[in-house]
Amino acid sequence: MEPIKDLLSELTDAFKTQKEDLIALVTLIDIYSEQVDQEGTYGEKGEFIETLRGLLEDNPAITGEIGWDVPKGLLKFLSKENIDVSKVLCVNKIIHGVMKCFYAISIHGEPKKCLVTGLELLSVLSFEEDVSENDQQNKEELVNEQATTPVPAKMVYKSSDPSDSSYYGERKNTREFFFTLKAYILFEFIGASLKRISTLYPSKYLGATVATIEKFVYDHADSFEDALFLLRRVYTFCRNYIPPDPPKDIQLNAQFTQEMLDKVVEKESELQVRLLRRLCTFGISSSIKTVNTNSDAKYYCALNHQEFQLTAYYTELLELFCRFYQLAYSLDVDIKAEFQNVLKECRIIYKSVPQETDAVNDEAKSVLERMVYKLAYTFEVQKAAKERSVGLDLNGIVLFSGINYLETNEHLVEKISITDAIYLYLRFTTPSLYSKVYHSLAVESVNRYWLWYAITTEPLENIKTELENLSVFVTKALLQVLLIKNCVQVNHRLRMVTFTLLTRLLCLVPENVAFDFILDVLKICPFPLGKTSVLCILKDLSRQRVSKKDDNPETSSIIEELSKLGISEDQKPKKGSIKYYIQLDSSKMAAVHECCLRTICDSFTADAKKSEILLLSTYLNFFIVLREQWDRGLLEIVYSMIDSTLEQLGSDKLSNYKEIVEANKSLKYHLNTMK
Amino acid sequence: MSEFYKLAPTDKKGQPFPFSQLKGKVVLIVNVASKCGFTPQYKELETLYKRYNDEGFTIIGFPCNQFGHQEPGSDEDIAQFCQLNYGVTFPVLKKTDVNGNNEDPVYKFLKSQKSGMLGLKGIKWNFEKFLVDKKGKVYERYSSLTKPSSLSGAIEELLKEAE
Repeated sequence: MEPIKDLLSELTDAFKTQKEDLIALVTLIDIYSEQVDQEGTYGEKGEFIETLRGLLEDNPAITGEIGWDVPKGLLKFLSKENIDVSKVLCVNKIIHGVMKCFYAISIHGEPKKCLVTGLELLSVLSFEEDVSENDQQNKEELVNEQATTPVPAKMVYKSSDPSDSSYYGERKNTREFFFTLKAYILFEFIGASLKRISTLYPSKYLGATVATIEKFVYDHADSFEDALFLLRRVYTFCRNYIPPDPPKDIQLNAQFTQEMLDKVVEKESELQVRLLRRLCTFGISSSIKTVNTNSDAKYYCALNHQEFQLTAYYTELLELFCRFYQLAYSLDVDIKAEFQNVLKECRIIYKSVPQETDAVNDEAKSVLERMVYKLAYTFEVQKAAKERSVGLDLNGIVLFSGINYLETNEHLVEKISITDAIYLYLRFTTPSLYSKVYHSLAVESVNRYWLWYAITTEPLENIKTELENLSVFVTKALLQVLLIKNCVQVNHRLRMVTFTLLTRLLCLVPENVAFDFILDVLKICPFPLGKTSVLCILKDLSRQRVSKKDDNPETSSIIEELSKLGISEDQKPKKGSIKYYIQLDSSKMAAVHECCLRTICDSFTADAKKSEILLLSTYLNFFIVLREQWDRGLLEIVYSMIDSTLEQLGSDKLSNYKEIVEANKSLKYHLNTMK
Repeated sequence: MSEFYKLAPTDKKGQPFPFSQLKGKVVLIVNVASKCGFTPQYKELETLYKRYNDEGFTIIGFPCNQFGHQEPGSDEDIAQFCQLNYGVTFPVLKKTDVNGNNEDPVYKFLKSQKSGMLGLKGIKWNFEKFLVDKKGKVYERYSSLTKPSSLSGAIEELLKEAE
């Protein structure tokens, strides 16, 4: 590379000599930029960008013509070769310079062209691109290491000295750092360019922007470790949006009267509002798909008079949720009315699901079972296909209904029936079983909050009556989805809260539905955790008496049980007229017994997993606790089958079954002491 | 009689603050917050208040915590903050909501009378302002970005009008 002084002088001259040939000027800027980025030192790069910034600012007419063509080259400077990520950003000349160049372009550049450039760059920005670039550079570094003359510009920055005042700290994700840095600059550039456009039809430009941002959020939400970035960018864009001014030189005449102008302005305002509302609701629902809102956890804590605490990260997230929620109000979104519309839509989807008795045979039953799962997905796909106007994202509305509680400690609607809460849950949770596009932990947590709210605010008799009248297909789908989703819940505390919810629901649904569900899980659930959990629930429901008042199903012990997946102290159930949530009888015992025998076989295969062994252990503990109610003959079969299998095991494998050995001994002991 | 004068929000002590006492006055209503980038507007607001108060102008502040939770303190904290930092002497009422299900009736009325940007009724941020004339009619609505000092002309114009 030629000396930087000469290069800068040539760049400065080019702004004077190439005024008439702007294509040549742009080409020169590109060539110089590439050369400096490839071969210059950190200082030289900083000098180059600073000079370019000065030239863009001092030559507004030229910047007006070529500004839109410069950003792509500028973004290339934002790479790990040029930026020590462990330092605070403001001390980096290159970042600072690139941002100033973007600012100069957004002030002097032709706004429509700048907007298009910004949108194009944002739409092609990707983690993958950064990865491949980095990979390419890594390869180059290897070549450079082997070369005799090292190239300083290719050195990758190592972490700074922590004692340095500009030291920021290690960044968790360098890849995300560069991506977010570029995205941040582009968002600002787009917003600034949009404000400067003079047009009678601003919705055209806002529409293009909203579409690009939506796609950006849609494409990258799952890749971000930190949901805060997307939330902040979308929120800032929406809140700072100021509609562009209409052109000052509009000629009013007979063909275009003041009245016509007013109509255009009115219609344009309406369109812009719709676009902003759409972005506000879509922005929040798509940015936090992988995060929990914790609205169900907060409600659960309130019910149990426990303190609700959030980590620093979730506190920050909550602050942004609340900002979006308030933004929606600023945009005149009637959250309550919209939420009620959502509930209405849910009713439309599920109200015609037939009762189990309507199914003529098992095949029809099976079809109907599958249909309930797919109803919301089919509805969603058809709705999307028919959608012709810019509407609210309903996932966002559901989220706001939960955030309303987080923000105000009040509930958006005073009453929600259990039927509505179940429909809501299925409507927004089941589509994710068919397409990951619809997967949202955030929406699921809000739906669970509404389930909790429904079962704790209405009189239990009313809830039970509603559940009796509800199609069994719907009830079973709810229980199954709730369980399956909970089996993959990584947060232990939330998992416990949802198991408690499931237990409460099982106390409320008709007994046969509850038992059928439990049996189905024991037979076919793919998650051993699911089976283990329902066994614990079954054990408690067949020992917990239905209170006459029935105003608080006793589930607190179940929480404890589930948390350790163990068994409580022996409690002999009182026989006679006492009604349990699930009354054990010979057919129920036989059905559970069958499932246990299958588990015994699975637990002793060569590739048996630890979770399967744990399940068998849970079965044994289950039988020990319920031995007085259980069929003694069945218990003896279980004991003998395990005992003989254990005897056949080699001593090397026996160590894996210590718990089973102990539990089976205990079962034997109890069998011997039973009358 | 304008609906405006039928309103009676709550003052910082929890007592009604009947707007009937504002008849014949030019009123500027502002949703305020103590920890906002626009909080220094208190200074200009107080200047306006002192300058025109004798001529029949008043300002009423409605503290609101809805925007970025920038008004987290109690009514007492807010009053102390205004007094100590900006020497505020105009009435600052009880903390309230300006949007949403629990919005104050004053704001429900003001927003119904004058829309903001893009015809939106919702308050966008702290320090939005509504200027009300001597007859209780909402004259204009100003965004947070509008500096209070720039309202002098409009205030003087309204003060000149007959009741």
